[in-house]
Amino acid sequence: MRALLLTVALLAPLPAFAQDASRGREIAENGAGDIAPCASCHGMDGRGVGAAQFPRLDGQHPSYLLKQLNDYAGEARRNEIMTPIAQALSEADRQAVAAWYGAQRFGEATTDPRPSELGERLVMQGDQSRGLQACVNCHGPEAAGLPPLFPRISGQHAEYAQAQFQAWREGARRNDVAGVMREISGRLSEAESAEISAYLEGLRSR
Amino acid sequence: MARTLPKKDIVFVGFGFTAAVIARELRESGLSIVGLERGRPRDTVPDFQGPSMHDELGFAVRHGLMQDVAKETVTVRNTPDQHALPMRQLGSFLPGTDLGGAGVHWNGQTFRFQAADFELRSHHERRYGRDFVPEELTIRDWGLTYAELEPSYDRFEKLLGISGKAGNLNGQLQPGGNQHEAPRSSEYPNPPTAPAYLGAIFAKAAMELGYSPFQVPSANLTRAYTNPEGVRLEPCMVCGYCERFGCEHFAKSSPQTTVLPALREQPNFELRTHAHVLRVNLSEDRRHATGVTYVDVNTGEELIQPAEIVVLSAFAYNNARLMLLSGIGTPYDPATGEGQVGRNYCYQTMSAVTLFFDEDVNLNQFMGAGALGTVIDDYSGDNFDHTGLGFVGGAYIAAYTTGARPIEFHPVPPGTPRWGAAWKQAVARHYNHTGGLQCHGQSNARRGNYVSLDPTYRDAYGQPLARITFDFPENDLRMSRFVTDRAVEIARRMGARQIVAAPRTAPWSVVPYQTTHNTGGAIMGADPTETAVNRFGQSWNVPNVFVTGAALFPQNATYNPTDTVGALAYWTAAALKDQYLRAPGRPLVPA
Ligand SMILES: Cc1cc2nc3c(=O)[nH]c(=O)nc-3n(C[C@H](O)[C@H](O)[C@H](O)COP(=O)(O)OP(=O)(O)OC[C@H]3O[C@@H](n4cnc5c(N)ncnc54)[C@H](O)[C@@H]3O)c2cc1C
Ligand code: HEC
Ligand code: HEC
Repeated sequence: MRALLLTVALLAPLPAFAQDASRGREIAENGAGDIAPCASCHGMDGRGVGAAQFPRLDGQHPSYLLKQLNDYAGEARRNEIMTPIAQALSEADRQAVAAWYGAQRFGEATTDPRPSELGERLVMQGDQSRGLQACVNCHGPEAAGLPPLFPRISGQHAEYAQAQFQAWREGARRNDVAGVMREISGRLSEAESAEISAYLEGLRSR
Repeated sequence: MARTLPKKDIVFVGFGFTAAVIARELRESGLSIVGLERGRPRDTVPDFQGPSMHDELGFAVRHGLMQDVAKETVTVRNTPDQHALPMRQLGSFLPGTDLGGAGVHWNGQTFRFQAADFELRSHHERRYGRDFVPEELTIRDWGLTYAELEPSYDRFEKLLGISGKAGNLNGQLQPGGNQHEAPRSSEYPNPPTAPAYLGAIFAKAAMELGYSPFQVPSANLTRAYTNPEGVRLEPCMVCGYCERFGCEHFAKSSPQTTVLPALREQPNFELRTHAHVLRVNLSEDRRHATGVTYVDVNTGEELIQPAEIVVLSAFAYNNARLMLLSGIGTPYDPATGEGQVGRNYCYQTMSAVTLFFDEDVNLNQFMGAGALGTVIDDYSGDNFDHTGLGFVGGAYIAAYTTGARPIEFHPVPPGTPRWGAAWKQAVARHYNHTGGLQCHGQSNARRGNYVSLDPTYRDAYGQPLARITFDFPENDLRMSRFVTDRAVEIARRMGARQIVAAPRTAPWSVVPYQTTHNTGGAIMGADPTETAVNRFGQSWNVPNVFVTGAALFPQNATYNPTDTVGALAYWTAAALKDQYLRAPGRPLVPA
């Protein structure tokens, strides 16, 4: 079944994002119905707020953003803030706002580089002794994302990334294809995932 | 003068799947084990890494992971009256090198052979009469039955974590699986792959024509899996860089991802890489092996490794060559049809049908995996009535989606200019709308096809190269035409706008790539004068020498060999453990 999901996800045609950009901007700026403007947390440029665990959306592919909104709405990814927001948006509005944020160029780094021998090794190379492959094998060169399935993880706020590792370990986030991130999180200690998250936030990539 | 090393109980020549499986099975035997591999050591981390592993030019075109033909190659010719020449670039087949062998860069299409394949001659004589098998064919029984091998198939598939759907569980047909397969004792350890789009339209058309399509059993895993050795594999990401590449995801079963991690922890096991074996050393009466001589490739030093048991696990024709170089058994002579070693070299009879679709059919085949395919088994082996057809054997018809990589995949219809603007336009038009059906066919033995030592050409160590004499038997060409016609009927039903069929034609050539399914040369059987080894893979002449791999096949069946190669490794390991070690040095089958 998981494999089926994987292939179906891969084979699904990408929705036509382009024409919805103005509606997307409208939602980001002013919200929709009772929903607060996305920008109040993620910013108009999509750069989020690290300390509050509001993730960066800039530089992320619209297909990935749309998948996350759909998953929040369908509860495969449970979150107190985002689930009600996604549920309140119509399918068309989710597409429109994913298109808007997906079109925001990846902005500047939010922190100085944070060199880490461990972070670099696990992200770029992996660890044979525990059968852990490099993050870049899926997340693309420099961890800059490999659309449509694999999000950019370089530059992401460390507090948010670390919270995701937690969510996968606890099963609150269950929307990863074939359970890959749950599997990987289970093999990283909390200290390691924290160090990787910090390293990734400082990682400069396109 | 070669330096002699401390004695070991058992030495393996070459360290791919077969050696790894047997060495692991001997963990509690008390034997001291050494594996000698001519190539370098390598592992998923750090050797197979994205994005550098996705270098199509380096690995698919320039064969970065394969044997270096500047050091060692084979010479080839079609018939015994020709002068053989060295294969100076790899083409038709891509032999592996380095730790793990070809199991690192294989596709992972994992089929069992049919019960009838193991009794090929007697089965045909029983079903169709004594005169049915064409005179040119020297096909034989294996001296081993499917039922005997079944438990070993089961173990190998669980080691690899094969993703598939059983079609026949203990004689009960199962919907969704292969309706023609021989009975299996258990379900595959992981669920089948989901069809790609090409496979889905193939399945629909095949079903409409009355066939029974199913998903190819795959060693690209569909979910995370811990095998019975406690080794963990991960799900395949369908990245399209599988055949000819090492998998960066721990998602393709290879010696590295299934058994080497366990073997490394095994106290009685030692691995030496960069160790190129020259020959097996024999006692003066040539009835007992005393060990092997090898070269440390890094230093050039020659070393003697004494051993009580020698296992030749160096891949198909390499095993026959090592036997010939060492003087084990009598060389086969095609003029008289006599001799043990070198005979019944076979291959795979491949043909293809290309389907050009309209532009609204988007196949997106860049999302692929080595064993991602949908297949029918209705025309394999003797699964259909051959009365009046004039040939023995068959082929499976499959729609594979393995990657459509940018350098090598640029299908254009016949008549398209070979370069320039018109060619570019045609590639752009057809790239995402063109698929292929593959007819993966049986290869029958015939008298003139064999492996011998080349009288002229030598390798980097001064030893005669293996000489392959091979052409497709008339029988196999007739089979290929018949099954390719069936594939064309399916292609029509799939709605292709233009269909180009390419049944197999002679002569066999070293280009283009066909398969690395070379078989025979050290075949098993019941007759000690006409086979190299007995039904356990033990040399008739030198009973402390065992042979593994596709070299043992008396002829090649419809299917890819590795499931059977792996099953035979478990079979030989059991014979070693449970029988041979009780009375070492004795033949397990009286000659
Ligand atoms: C591109 C490709 C795709 C394939 N796809 C499939 C598939 O989909 N399905 C399938 O069933 N099969 C497939 N195969 C075949 C499969 O890879 C082989 O059947 C399998 O790997 C054979 O295992 P082995 O242990 O017998 O030999 P190998 O894996 O070849 O191992 C033999 C080892 O011996 C070493 N060696 C050789 N000579 C010496 C010497 N003199 N001294 C020391 N070491 C030596 C070699 O370096 C090598 O490492 C494919 C092969 C290739 C190349
Ligand atoms: C009140 C603050 C807030 C508002 C308003 C908000 N978000 Fe979020 N958003 C979050 C938080 C917190 C997360 C992380 C939740 C988690 O851990 O799963 C998040 C996560 C996301 C994600 C997942 C990102 C990823 O990398 O996986 C997307 C997509 C997203 N939000 C889009 C939106 C859109 C579109 C809107 C407006 C319609 C919006 N958000 C409004 C706080 C907010
Ligand atoms: C086998 C492929 C694969 C590998 C290897 C992999 N990931 Fe992921 N990762 C994914 C997928 C797929 C997703 C998106 C899941 C989804 O759709 O929700 C993801 C999501 C993430 C996210 C969440 C991004 C976001 O914006 O919410 C983070 C963080 C992450 N991965 C970090 C890592 C790190 C660190 C590693 C290496 C230790 C790694 N990943 C290795 C496939 C992989």
